[in-house]
This record gives sequence, structure tokens and C-alpha cells, in this order.
Amino acid sequence: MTRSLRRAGSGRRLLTTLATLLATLPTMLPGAAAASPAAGAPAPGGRAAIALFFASAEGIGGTIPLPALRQEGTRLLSALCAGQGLEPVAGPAWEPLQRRLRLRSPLGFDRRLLDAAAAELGATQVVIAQVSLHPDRLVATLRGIDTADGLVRWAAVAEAKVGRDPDAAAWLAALRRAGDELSAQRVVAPGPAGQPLLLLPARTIDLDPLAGEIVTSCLLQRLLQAGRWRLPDPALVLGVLRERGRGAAELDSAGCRALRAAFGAAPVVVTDVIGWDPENFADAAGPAASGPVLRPALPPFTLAWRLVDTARALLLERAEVYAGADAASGWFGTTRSVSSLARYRQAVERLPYPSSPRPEDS
Amino acid sequence: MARRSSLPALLALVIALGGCSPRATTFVHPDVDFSRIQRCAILPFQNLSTDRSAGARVESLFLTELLHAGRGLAVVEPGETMAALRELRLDPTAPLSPAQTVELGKRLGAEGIFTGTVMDCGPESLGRNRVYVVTAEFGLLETETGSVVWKSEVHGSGSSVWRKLFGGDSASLYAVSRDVVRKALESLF
Repeated sequence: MTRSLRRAGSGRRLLTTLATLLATLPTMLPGAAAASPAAGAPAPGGRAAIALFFASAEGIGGTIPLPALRQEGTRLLSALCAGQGLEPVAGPAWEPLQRRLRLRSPLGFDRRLLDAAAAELGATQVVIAQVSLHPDRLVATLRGIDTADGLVRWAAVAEAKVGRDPDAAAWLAALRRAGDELSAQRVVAPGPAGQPLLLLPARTIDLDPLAGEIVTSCLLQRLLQAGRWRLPDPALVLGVLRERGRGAAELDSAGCRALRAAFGAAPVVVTDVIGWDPENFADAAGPAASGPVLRPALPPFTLAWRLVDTARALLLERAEVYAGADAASGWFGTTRSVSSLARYRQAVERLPYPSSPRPEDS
Repeated sequence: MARRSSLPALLALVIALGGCSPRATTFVHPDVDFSRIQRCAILPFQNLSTDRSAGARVESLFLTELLHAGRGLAVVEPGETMAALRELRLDPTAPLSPAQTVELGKRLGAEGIFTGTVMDCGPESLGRNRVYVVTAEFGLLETETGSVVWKSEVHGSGSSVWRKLFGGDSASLYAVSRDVVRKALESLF
């Protein structure tokens, strides 16, 4: 388990403190025992090293039972892996490796982590999960990455409401529901066939960075579902650029060359999620009002991807969809259950698939 | 019979009143063969408005609409354009001189370089209503001589005669910005 916690707002210090406290309790949690391998023979699908992250959006009130959430999350992930025929690697063996390679966020690693997990722990997959906490719900994303080839083998995104003024029990119940949903939603890559396609993590402008991670997960899930591509994990794609001192937004010819050297001739999908009209929707990211929770309207956004030919640093295709603002109340003043995940999912589904890369393009 | 024939006219009038097309002032160089421009780059858009991300938003729309309307025009990945600007030590926020344009064009292998400046972007009070307005200027520099071959300044508003007569909210900021970009590109393609 990795003890990384990201907080984009005023409660950053509190949650960071909690995360630091958690860091001192590496394997004492009962959940760690649940994640430990059973004494018997390895599962048929191999072994999975699980990394679980928590992130927090703005405006969360009350106390977040982070240790309990982490423990329950680890148990749920172990069960999910078992459902995939994967035996979880024991926390005490995996944690020093995460510390050594500085695995601190769901997208903050490169090929070395996979190689080390395979060589030192015998892991066939690294499973990266993130639970992001929002004022009225939590969103869980997860992806299983093959340590041999770095391809995403399975992915899922799910959310669960927590209701008004959630207490510890409400957060835990929501996490369990999200776990069930992840199990139902998971998409497994059909096989090693298909053309390679590189997906960079989505970049956000005027939106919470968590939106980018959720959109990236939705995109991964949809592309896996299509069964037309082999998808190296977005963190590995970004890792290659970072190694050369570049970010997702700086895809120049040197970055393209590095990607070609690492992944072969494959086009790159660069995704932007852009918030519109931030002035009118500033409250959407603000702290929740006291009393009954009235979810603020969600800001409008555009979701756009461009397909870049790494041989010539030229754009091959471009697609963009716009999602308008969703009102917080519906007819007769009823409160609408608007969900940011549902909106991102819908936007991703409205986007056309990239055309399969043609040989002359790459 | 007369009533019947007036109905389509009335509908046409309502439709005509329904939208409010952006206003554009455009210059197109008369002596330039635009078919020569096969590959182009887009400089980061400048932003003079109070909305700090307006430049990035309008640039994103411009990229989409350019690829849509550009009839096979090859567009250099923006990351490559940024790398070239850094390499040539050019300030991405300053206008390019003709010599710099030629140099950048050579580095990118582009015959044309698009520029953009967002001057105004956001809500504006119009009587009791708030409407979205966007004013932006777009340009195209050809890289052989570094001269401006196309320039279009467009002002768009979320208001319309229909909305003024019958009420209703302003068109969204996205819709206004997209119409502004489309109006500009209409004069080029």
C-alpha cells in the first residue's frame, strides 16, 4: 500500500498529516493481512502488487476515516484481484519497493517499477487504484498493468454517493458499494492483438486535476472495451516524456522520438478537459454549505483529444465534445442527482474513437 | 391561401431572428496563393481578457475548427511549436518579426503560422441581462517573407434579437467562442 494523499484545497494539511500518520503504520492494519498471499499455491493468473491512493477534492466536511477506508479498500482490492485470478503480493514486501522507486501517485511511475515488481516480487501485474473523495460521493478508479509488457490488462471506474454530512460508516459503506460497482464495471483487455495506441493522461484547464484522472480512466475503459488497441499504461507513456524533462503538454519531436524508441511506431492520444465559464461556477469547487447539501451546478466543459503522429509530430485527427452546465435542481425544484463521473463518461462516449493508425502515419 | 404562404415566411423570419451572427472585420492578402500553404503551425494564443484561461480555451476551439475546415491542411503538434519557440529563444507572448517568422517557419517546416489574441471573453451586463461576449483576433503569417496574409477580428455575443424580444438566457460562452472562431475561418476557407 502506498500512502500518498493529494489534496487540492484548504484541508490539505489535515489530510497530509493523516497520510503521514498512516505512513507510520505500514503493516499493522488488519487489511494488510487480508492482502497477504495465502500460504497455498499461487493463483492461476499470477500475483498482483496493489497500490492504493486516496485523493480529496475541495469542500469535504466532517472527518474522513482514512485508516479504515484504506483497510477496507485494500480488502476490496484483494477480492477484486482474486476475481481476476490474481494473488495479492504481501504489503511488507511491496512497500519498501514503492518507497525506493517513489511511487506517490497513480500516474507517478515508470517502467522501473514494473520491472522491479516482476523481478523482486514475482508480480505479473501491478494494480493501481485511486479513491477520490468528493463532497457527496467517492469515485474509485483502478487499472491492472502487465509487468511483462506494460499493457493495461483491465480497468474500471465507479462511484458511490455518501449522502449528507457523511460519517465514518457512510464513507465505508460508499466504498463497499464502489467496490461492487468496480467489480461489475471492469473491462478486461481482449488479448494481445490489436495495434498499439499511446494514451497520455488527460490535462485539465480550469478544472480540478482529479477530473483529468477520472477522464483518463474513462477513456482507458472505453478504448479497452473497443478491443482494437494494445494500450501501454498512460503512466508509462508519461514516464518516458518525464525522463526527458517533458510533460504531457510538451510533445515535441524529441518526445515523439523517445516514445517511438520505447513503444514502437504508435500514435499518441493527447486529451484536454477544459472548464468553461469558471467565474459563474466558482462555487462548484468551493466548500459545501452547512445544513442540507445542495449540490452546486457542475461547470460546463469541453473534452477534446488529438491524435499525434510520432513520426512527424503532426496532428492526425482531432475530436471535441462539449458538455453544458448541469443544473442542480430539476423540475418543481427537486434536487437532481448530477454526477461528475456520469458527465465525464457521457462525454467520453460521445467522442469518436481514433481511427486505427495507418502504417504510413507511423 | 394567403395565410398559408405567410407561414413559411414567418418561420424564416423567426429563424433569422433566432441567431445573432458574430461581426467580423477581415483582411485577406490579394496576391497570396493560399494553396501553397500545406503545413502550418499555431502559436500559443495571447490573452488580453480578464479570464486567465481564455487564450487556451479559444486556441483549443481554433485547433478543432481549423482541422475541420482546413481541407487537408497539416497542422504541427502544438508541443513541437512550443519546443521550436524555446529553441529559437523566441518569446511566445510577443509578436513575431518577419525575420523571426521566417526562421520559425523553417524550423517547423511550415508554410504558414496562425496567431490568435483573445481581447475580451466573459459575461457582460446588457440592461438587466448578462450575456457572454467574445472578441478575438486571428492571423496567418506566411513564412517565406514573414508577412501577414490574413487577419480577422471577430466580435460575438450571446445575445440575439430573439432573446431580446422573447427573453431567455445568453448563449453559452462555449457557443459564442465557437461561433467567433468559425466566423473567422469562414473568411479563409
